[in-house]
Amino acid sequence: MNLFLRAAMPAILLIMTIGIYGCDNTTETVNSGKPPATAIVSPTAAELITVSQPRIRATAPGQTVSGAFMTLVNDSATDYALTSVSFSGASAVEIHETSMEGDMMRMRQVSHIDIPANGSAELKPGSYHIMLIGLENGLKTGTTEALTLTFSDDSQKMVEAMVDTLSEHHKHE
Amino acid sequence: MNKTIILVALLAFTLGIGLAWYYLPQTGPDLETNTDGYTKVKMTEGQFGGDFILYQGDKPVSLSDFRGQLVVIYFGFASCPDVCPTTLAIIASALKQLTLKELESVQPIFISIDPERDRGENLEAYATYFHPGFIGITGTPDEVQKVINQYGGFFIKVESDSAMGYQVEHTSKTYIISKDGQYVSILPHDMTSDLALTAIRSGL
Repeated sequence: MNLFLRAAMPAILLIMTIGIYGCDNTTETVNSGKPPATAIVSPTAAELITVSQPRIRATAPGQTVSGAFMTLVNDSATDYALTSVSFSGASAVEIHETSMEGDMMRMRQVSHIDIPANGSAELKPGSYHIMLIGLENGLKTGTTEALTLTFSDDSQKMVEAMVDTLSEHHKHE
Repeated sequence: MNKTIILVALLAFTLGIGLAWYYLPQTGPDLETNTDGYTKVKMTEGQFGGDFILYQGDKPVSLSDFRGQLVVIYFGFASCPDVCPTTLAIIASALKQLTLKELESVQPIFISIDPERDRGENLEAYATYFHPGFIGITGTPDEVQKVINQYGGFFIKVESDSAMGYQVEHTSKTYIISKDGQYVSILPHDMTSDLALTAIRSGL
């Protein structure tokens, strides 16, 4: 019985996630019409959002996926979101969220990460992270790699991330 | 009549046995201590923990092969980007703080819950990347599920739209089996290397 519940829960949660993801996509399609033409150029999210401690976990031999982490600080009065990331060394880059539900460690893809006005978003192990998929050449400790972040206003920002083993839980950031 | 009394007594007795059989296995493992942030549980064959056989490549490996050594077990998978490498690195960090003599009596084991993607040399290379003392073992998904269930854990393969293909959702505890194979220390998913070191040292 318990086993059945445990087996059924992820399925239900997956369906819910797909549902939410579907809704988000619709909202985005509605909102992503052309921005109103303005005479005065206002600062973009890429200019307003600061990135601290960008880091990527080094890969083990033969490992072709890894996670990138960072803190995104939004000191402006506008809500933004991180909508996509690109990295030349990966065949695909996605935004994922890891969570502990009861005793279960779950990971699922999300469409974006909110970076609220006068707030921040933390990408860290056990929470939101950027998934680098299909890393043909692996990533070695001590190197740096360039990631391009795209925000909800379509502005882009490049960050240099340190490749490290990330051996402890980053609790104090 | 005498016959009725005997019948009722027999019925009550049978009912009692039935109830005991139904309830006793549900009382769970015998919790020993819970002092330093982890739980120590007595192994009860058929109920909690116990021996198992999985494979390092083609070679069968059983827990009882390591009697006399402290065995540190973590269940995870190599495509896990986050929790598994963090935990393996924490175990490795604790192992690196041991003296060579202490390390001789410790056997760290990484059990892959994703045998479809982790096999043979890849699994071994992944496990030893964190610490050279590790061995990487696995089996069929059913065999591995049976072993993790024995220790109170669970995993499930979940299909996803991600370019990674399916995900494996799982419990993320670390198990330390005592040298005599009688006790299991269960460490939480968010343990520190200090906690791992404390738990390892207390078993040496």
